[in-house]
Amino acid sequence: MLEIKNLHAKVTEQDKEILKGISLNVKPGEVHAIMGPNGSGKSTLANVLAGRQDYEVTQGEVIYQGHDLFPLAPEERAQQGIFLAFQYPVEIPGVNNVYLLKAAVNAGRKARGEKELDAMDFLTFIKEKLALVKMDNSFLSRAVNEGFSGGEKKRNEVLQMAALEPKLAILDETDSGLDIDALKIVADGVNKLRNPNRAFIIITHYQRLLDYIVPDYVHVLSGGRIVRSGDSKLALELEETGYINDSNSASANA
Amino acid sequence: MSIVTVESYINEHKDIKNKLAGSQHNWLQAARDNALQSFAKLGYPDKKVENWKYTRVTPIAKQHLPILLTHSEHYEKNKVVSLVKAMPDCHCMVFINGYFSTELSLLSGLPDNVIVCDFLTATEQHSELLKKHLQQDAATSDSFLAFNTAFMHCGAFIHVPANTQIEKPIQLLFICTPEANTHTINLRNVLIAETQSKVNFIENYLAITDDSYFVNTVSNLILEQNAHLTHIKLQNESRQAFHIGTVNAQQAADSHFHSHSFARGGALVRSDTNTSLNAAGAHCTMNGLFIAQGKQHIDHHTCIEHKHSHCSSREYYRGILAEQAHGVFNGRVVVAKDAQKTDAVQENKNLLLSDSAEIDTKPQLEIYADDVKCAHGATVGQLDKRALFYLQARGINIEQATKILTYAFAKEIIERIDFAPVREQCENLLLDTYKIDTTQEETHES
Ligand SMILES: Nc1ncnc2c1ncn2[C@@H]1O[C@H](COP(=O)(O)OP(=O)(O)OP(=O)(O)O)[C@@H](O)[C@H]1O
Ligand SMILES: [Mg+2]
Repeated sequence: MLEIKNLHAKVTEQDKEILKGISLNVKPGEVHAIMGPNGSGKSTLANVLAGRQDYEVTQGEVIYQGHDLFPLAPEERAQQGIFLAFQYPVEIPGVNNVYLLKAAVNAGRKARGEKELDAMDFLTFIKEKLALVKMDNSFLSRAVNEGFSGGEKKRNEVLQMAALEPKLAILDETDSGLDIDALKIVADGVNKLRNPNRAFIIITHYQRLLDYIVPDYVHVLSGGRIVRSGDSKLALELEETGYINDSNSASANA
Repeated sequence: MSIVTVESYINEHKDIKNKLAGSQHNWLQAARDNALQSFAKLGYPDKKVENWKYTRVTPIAKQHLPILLTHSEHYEKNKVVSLVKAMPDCHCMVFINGYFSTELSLLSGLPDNVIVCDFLTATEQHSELLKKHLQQDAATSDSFLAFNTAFMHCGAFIHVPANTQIEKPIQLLFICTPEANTHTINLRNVLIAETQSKVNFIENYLAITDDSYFVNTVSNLILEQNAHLTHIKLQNESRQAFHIGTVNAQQAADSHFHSHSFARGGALVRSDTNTSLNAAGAHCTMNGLFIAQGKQHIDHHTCIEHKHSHCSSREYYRGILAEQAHGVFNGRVVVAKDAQKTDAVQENKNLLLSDSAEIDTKPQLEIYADDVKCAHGATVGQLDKRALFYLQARGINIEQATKILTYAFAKEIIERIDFAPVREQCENLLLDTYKIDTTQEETHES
């Protein structure tokens, strides 16, 4: 589904390289967890996949569903099933949450040649999704993320994910700032969406999320490279040892 | 060139002076003559006049646009009727090219003691009140105010007596038809809210023509003690038209003045809103939104004069400039030496949607008192890139995302308008401008 080959990226108009040769292969139905120290490039990778203009790819390629990903605009990537749950969801005053949700869902339907949902049908549709993340209807009429608590913002990302039914969902620290109940709700939401055709990349710092969402693979990203990969046991090991002694394996990997 | 134009207006004044409304009153003729002299002396403002620094009036000054002296007969009545209907739940005075049409107006159900008539009727039946409230002195310093006073003839006169509350807003609907083409429509409105009264006005400038004409309009607002007056100005003139307008308010103790100004039309527009807080407890809010595209030039000036202690003012203006449009915002807040405990907030935000769009913004805070709370700020910017990417990452294309965020920026000002029909009209104008479908917003939960 997604093949990342030797991906290098830097901040546009700066020389500093952030991603220094990442390779990763994600197949349908798989869940990959990406862990790693602060500032190692996890969000940068997520944003490059989503098409953010702040970064420039200098080397390597990404094949998504058999096609080069980079010629696609961010909206086209979204319409073709890539979803990024933002580490820092953006507040958009003046734009209704439900308006964004409907515009987003219909943009995807239109791109796939499906009939757009009208206001009534959409409301029925979105209420089911709200139930999935245990959010109440009042969130629909509020401005996107405006005045939402940290945890509410993250749940709103999961709501959008549930509504958009992506093929590849990238969750960037969706568990950060969640209380125990909210963490369970988010994890349940993700687990309900797991199916053989859908893949997840889950960026997290904490094992506790991976207790609920058991990944097929765990990768450690450090200094812009994937320095270790393993199965779900790797996360447990990291919990014990930390990232520090990974530098050896980094050179071993290169 | 403009000197020739000034002379031709002086000649026109000679010719028509005795045909103007209320020419039997010496005081009125004297006011007109004085104003004409001021106009002759001032001429048209050029960039040396500080107040007109960013707005060139050459398109108006280069030609003589005669005053329309007759009622218009030939226009599409059905179009006018539908414009009246477009604003439900209000009383409505209809003016066609400046001239009041009793037939098309909707004025039933107003309290008996309220006077609602045109300028001509006011000179005939209420000349004492008119004389008392017509603000004449300002005419000496500004060309277009002077011009307006010299040619006063059309407009509305509304007097709301003490302790009277008018529930439904009164709309003054000014419609220009093809007959206005290459003419001046000169309007003078006098709107009086006496002690403890409450009234809402909507001045709505519209056109059923695409022609070029010149509207010069001045409204004098008088708020007596504890009066509550809302004034909404909607400017949607023809895209070829020139619109120069001033709203001047005078506020007594504990009066509340709410002003909204929404500008969308016109080729060359200057719109001023001024108020003077003359006694303790007076409060004003001024909200404004101007949206310009193409080669439109839209200039807003506001002035809030805190002349007495314990008054407050709130001002929120936003501009959206696209394509080659040019916007100007100049907001002055003056706090006089004795105006202690003044509380004033002013905010101006502007959005530039293209590289060739331009805005000149100048907030001016002049404080001569020492115990005051004043805050002001002006910003000029593009849309939030993070928000744009967020919408794109949800599958919404960049053009649509731009429109959605622009609409949201404007909506924050429109939401300040209390009266739903006006709010809806403004929103529809925006939606039309940005071609967005917002049907989901209507779906409210009960
Ligand atoms: N737009 C940018 N401009 C400048 N530097 C940037 C930009 N984006 C990322 N960086 C830098 O690149 C590095 C990687 O950042 P990134 O956000 O990808 O880290 P991360 O692994 O997600 O960290 P965290 O765990 O703290 O979220 C950091 O040093 C960061 O400061
Ligand atoms: Mg990050």
